[in-house]
Amino acid sequence: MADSTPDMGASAKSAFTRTASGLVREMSIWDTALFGLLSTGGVYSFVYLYPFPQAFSPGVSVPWVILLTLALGVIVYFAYAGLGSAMPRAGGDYVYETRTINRVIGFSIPWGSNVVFWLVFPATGAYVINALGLQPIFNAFGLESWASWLATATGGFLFAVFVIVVEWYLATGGLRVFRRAQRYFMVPCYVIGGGTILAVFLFKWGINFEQAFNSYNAAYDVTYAGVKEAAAQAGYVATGFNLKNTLIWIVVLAGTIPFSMFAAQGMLGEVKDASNFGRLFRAFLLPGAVMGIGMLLIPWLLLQRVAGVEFLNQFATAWVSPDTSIASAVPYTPNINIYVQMLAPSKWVVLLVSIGFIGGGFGISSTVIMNSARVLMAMSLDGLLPAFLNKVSAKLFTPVRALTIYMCVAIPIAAWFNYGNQTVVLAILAGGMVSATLVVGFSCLGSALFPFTAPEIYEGAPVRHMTLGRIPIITLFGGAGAACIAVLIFWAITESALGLTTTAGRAALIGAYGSGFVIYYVWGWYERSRGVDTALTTKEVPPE
Amino acid sequence: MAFRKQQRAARILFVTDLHASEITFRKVLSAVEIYEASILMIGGDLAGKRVVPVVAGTEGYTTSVGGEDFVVDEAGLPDLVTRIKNLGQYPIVLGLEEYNVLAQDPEGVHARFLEASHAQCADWMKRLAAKFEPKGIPVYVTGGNDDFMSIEDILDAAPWVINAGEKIIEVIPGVEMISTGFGNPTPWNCPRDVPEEKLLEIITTMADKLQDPKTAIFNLHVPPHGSGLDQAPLLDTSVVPPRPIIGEVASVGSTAVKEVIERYQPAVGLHGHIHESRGVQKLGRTTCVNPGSEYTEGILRSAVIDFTKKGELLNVQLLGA
Repeated sequence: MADSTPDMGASAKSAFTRTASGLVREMSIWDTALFGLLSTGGVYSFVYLYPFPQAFSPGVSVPWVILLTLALGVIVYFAYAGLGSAMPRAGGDYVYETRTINRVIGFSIPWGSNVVFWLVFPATGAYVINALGLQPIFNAFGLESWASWLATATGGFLFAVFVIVVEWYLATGGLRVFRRAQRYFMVPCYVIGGGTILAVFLFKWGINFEQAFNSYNAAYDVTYAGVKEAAAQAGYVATGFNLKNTLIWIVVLAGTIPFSMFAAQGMLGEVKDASNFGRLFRAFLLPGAVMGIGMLLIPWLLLQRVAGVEFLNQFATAWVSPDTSIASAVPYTPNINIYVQMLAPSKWVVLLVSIGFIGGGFGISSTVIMNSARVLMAMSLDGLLPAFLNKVSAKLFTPVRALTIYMCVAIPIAAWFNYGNQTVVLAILAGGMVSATLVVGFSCLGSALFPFTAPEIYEGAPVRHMTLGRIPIITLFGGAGAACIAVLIFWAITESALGLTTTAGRAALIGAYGSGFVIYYVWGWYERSRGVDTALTTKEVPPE
Repeated sequence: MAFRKQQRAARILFVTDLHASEITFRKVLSAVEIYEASILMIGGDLAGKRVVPVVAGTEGYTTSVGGEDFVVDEAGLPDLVTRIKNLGQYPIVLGLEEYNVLAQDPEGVHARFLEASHAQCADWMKRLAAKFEPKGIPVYVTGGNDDFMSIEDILDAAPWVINAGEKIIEVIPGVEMISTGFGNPTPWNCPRDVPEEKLLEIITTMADKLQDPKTAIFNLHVPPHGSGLDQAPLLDTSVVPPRPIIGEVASVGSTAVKEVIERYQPAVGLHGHIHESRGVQKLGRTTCVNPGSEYTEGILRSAVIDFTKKGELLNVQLLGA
């Protein structure tokens, strides 16, 4: 029987609903926005900015890097909202690229990116929680021996194992568990850490930075003047704004701000209202803007105001000098939390900022685990990967096997991260940033081609009415995104400042993406030999 | 690979829980040829879930769909009607007075539901016949627990389309199929909800007459309990209609279906009912399939089931488009 809500007004329009079962998606648009915020990394993203830009790329303007990356982000959000609202299912880039480009690319590129995510984020997430979260807290509260142990390779590795297992638990526990962890733990950590940084910079606006620096560094026998002198010895020369160097560093931040659309890369099968373009776009834009402006741009501008751009550049130059007599002038990594401690030397400030890094580390690595498992599951459901990867727990309704395999691979990688050659490790990290951007570039390309290569799906897409003259707007946005990212990728593999020009870095990328091609053809051959036509899985079926 | 193609003698395309979604049904019409199926099976729950009043007023035509309000003029009405139909809902255009009267008349609304769902069902059967009879592709349809019993007459009367409900049919030489759209009780008291004991009796009455259950297809709308194909959100039944509790899931499949599958061990179990529980699971030697349903998104979830010339199960593959 139907029920109804009568409306006596002229706009009466209540539906009569049958009391019958229906499909439910668990993640709200708000959850999707929070997921996106976690995916940007929050204060974790400062790791990519401190102190490298200034040291490796003279004349880089970090505020402009942030703003331009946010502009790129808006383009990316549009492309992904357009694709996601048209194809609101689990699998993300795999689904979009197989339908709009071709099957081989659509499998291999997302596969490769997920392999690199696998290599990078569980271990680096744990590292951030450890080195920028727990160690500062322990040092500040008199537990130096604990901090020292965590700083060892063994301590770092064992802690990473602990974090990876916790993240496995959050992911296998189902969306209910993850949503709670997201809402009540990780996002509050982001807010606490980011808010504290902002508050300190705002309240210490007029501080005498040189005095604060010398006071903080008295225990290290480091002085403000000493750093400037070390920088001079390292050959530091003040340079003006350099456009190219500024643009190059977008490569690094391109793996942060634009990723507030991360739910569209795997989770949309579980998002309510995912077929609503406007809501999806806003769910991506809001966290991107919060991250870009609130958590990166404003703190950086404030820091520049307090410490001075010149000194920040000198500090970084001295830190990266290969001459140990110069580098000894800076015996620690000058990261954002160090600057905050200089301005507000309180163990409670240390605690609050470190909480932000703890949230950031969990946030970025757990969202990657959640997304990657769903991508693997989607590929497996389509027969492009072994069936055991799509098995879901009857109790938890999560892809427990895929997640468990993910955890088992992440642990030895964490061992290598802690015990291995750090130069190689850094190259792999750089690869992580590039691969994150590469898959986005291909999906942007797919969105540009979407109206022409998948017209049947486009016919039902919410963005189909958005045109500029005869040109679909999604084509314009997607084309712009693909073009920008193509340039970024080119710089990533040719500019030594970004760390991917080493043999190890390039080998990691070739291995990850090459493995995708190999698996596609080998597995496809095996399935065909069993009578399974995997080509069926990506065939589009137009409505008659 | 040509060797394997010869081995595949028949391919069933199985779709279910279309719930009156026009765009999803139109994809079914295309999918048979694209997926190279030789038989089409449409599982239960053909009927839609809502009658959506589109009220003609001074501002134009107003309605609310999916929580979003619409006001369109005469030119925009066809698009709006299509949008509603694609969601699996039945648009009815009313004047304001007519709407207000109907809103106070549950029996009148029910009558409009029946009228709309019968018309939709009859239209679909006609289009299936027009599409597949010339190609000689058999089409088997069953009702589901959400379908009123009154559609049985429509299915029986449909040309070319075979109403498979509560019948034993040899769909492939050597492969018989039994089907039922009845299901175990749900919180919504759907038209074909029956107690588990009754459901067991309905199924076993057919299964006992099979020549060889081990080669058979059990086309049972509700999936087996605890199979992983029956995970649905837990419901808060203190409100009407019951509301899903986000994040809590439970096994809501049928114990009767589980018992018959475990007892008879057919080759294949075809199921639907729980849209979210797409998958393939083994219960003993039986391969149970639930292709799932995402009709509200216009996504066609389906499964292809391949058989050899000897009537042996060759392969099961889930598809989505």
